[in-house]
Amino acid sequence: MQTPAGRARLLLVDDDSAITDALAPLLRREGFDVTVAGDGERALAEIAAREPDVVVLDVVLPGIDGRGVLREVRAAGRAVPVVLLTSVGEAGERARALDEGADDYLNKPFDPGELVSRVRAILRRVHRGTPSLAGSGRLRAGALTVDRVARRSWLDGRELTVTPKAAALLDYLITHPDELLSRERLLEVVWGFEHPVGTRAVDNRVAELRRVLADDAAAPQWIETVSGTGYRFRAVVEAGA
Amino acid sequence: MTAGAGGARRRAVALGVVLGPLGAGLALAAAWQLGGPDVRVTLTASPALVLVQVGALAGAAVWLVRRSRARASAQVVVALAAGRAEAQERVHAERLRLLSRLDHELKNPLMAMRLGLATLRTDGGEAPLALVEQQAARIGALLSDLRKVADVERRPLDVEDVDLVALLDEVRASVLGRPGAGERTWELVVPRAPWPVPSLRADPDLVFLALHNLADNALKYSRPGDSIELRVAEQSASHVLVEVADTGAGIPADEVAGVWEELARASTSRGVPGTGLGLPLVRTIVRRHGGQVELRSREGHGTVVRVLLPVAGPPPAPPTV
Repeated sequence: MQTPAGRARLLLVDDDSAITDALAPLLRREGFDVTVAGDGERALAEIAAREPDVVVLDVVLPGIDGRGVLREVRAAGRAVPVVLLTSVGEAGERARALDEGADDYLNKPFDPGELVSRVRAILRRVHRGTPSLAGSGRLRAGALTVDRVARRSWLDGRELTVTPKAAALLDYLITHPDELLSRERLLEVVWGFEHPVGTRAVDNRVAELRRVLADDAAAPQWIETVSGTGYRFRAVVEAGA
Repeated sequence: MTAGAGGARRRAVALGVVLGPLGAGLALAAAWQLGGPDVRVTLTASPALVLVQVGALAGAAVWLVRRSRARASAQVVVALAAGRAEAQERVHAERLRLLSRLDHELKNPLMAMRLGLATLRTDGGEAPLALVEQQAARIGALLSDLRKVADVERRPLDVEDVDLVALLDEVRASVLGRPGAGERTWELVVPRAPWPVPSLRADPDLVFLALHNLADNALKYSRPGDSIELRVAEQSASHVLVEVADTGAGIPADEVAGVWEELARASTSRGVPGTGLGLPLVRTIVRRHGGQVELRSREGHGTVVRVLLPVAGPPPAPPTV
């Protein structure tokens, strides 16, 4: 999985050398063994040859674009985790990123620290031996079942009625269990903008999910509040029906 | 204006052409009935001739109707084309203004970054580093706001029952956390009689964003000691009115109309941080909810923004392609 030195192998795919020239050294300083690919074909060749531990993949690429690369990787049966760098803060873009099996995604321009913490969270999951949930259409966490494609969910077999944003939030939480997710991160994921005034929107949607899940904020079974920071999905999640 | 007057004149002429002969016939018949000799005229004609005449008259009538319809539709096409050209010109002018403002907004931080980098290269130090960071953040804020405006224009609305009074209270609580907010007097004005303000169908996050922008503007463009009022009232059975009013700096009269354009900033806003995208965002959110927004201001006295929202919620979305 990792190089002898224990450094995780990271493939960075972006056609803009201004990004890769600045990001690759930063990621190396953070302890990653970084390889750079400037287009989709080279990315596919690198993934086949070097089997990286994680791929950071820009959507906009000459030739085969990032989505095409992701599709081919998944079609070839490779489970390598992928962080997709999207450039449009649009709900449809994020939904598609999920459909195509990206493990996480960040909107450009992003905070480099956020990318590092997303990549580390993925590597921790891989290290634990937990399979990726990103490509699964259906997830289960105890009595909770989520159909990610249809955006429907059931608790003890009873279908939950939630607003579309709460459903999107639940989708992200359940695919990133046991990770500390900041309000800002959740806001960006679900709403696409990172304005601090909006974080109350995250709190309201979490309250809605807790209501339908009958979760007690003081002794949560599902969604735990991490004081002053954000939330964490506590339940153990598994793929399949 | 002129097209309307011309149309009215043409309609009057057309009416005269039709009614004139009819009126003249009626007048002559009345005169004959009153004063003319009592005679009867009997005409004989072959049925073939009558059929030919009826056919010819019907043909002429159909031709006349078709011709007038064609003329009318040609006029509509011309008027539409003129309207379209005018709208295109307006959009074009707005686009040019937007591009020139964008150029201006990017030029200054870029210039500052270059200067900061040059200082870094020669002298090093923390100050130019901080400057470059600040300017990068400035461009980042501009980009984020531009993206937000584009996103709010297109994203599907998540409509639910919204308690505007509770929402305004949240807006106030959120803005009160900002620097300088404690030095203004904030008042939430809510009528209780004869009945409470009804809840309305809306996307709560977007309405919050719009009202927060307005409250934040009231804070930014007022001074310590000024008053800011957030007011909500039932305007009619179908609409709720929200007003955000301040006793702040106000906007010069000749700049009020321009505040809704992207990146436009009033001359009184110099030195106040902002991207000039707040009000366009507010307008987009209100319009998507089927509402209206207007701003009134007096320089040196303050500003009030009135947002009228339909209780029934946004109009049905146009079919997506």
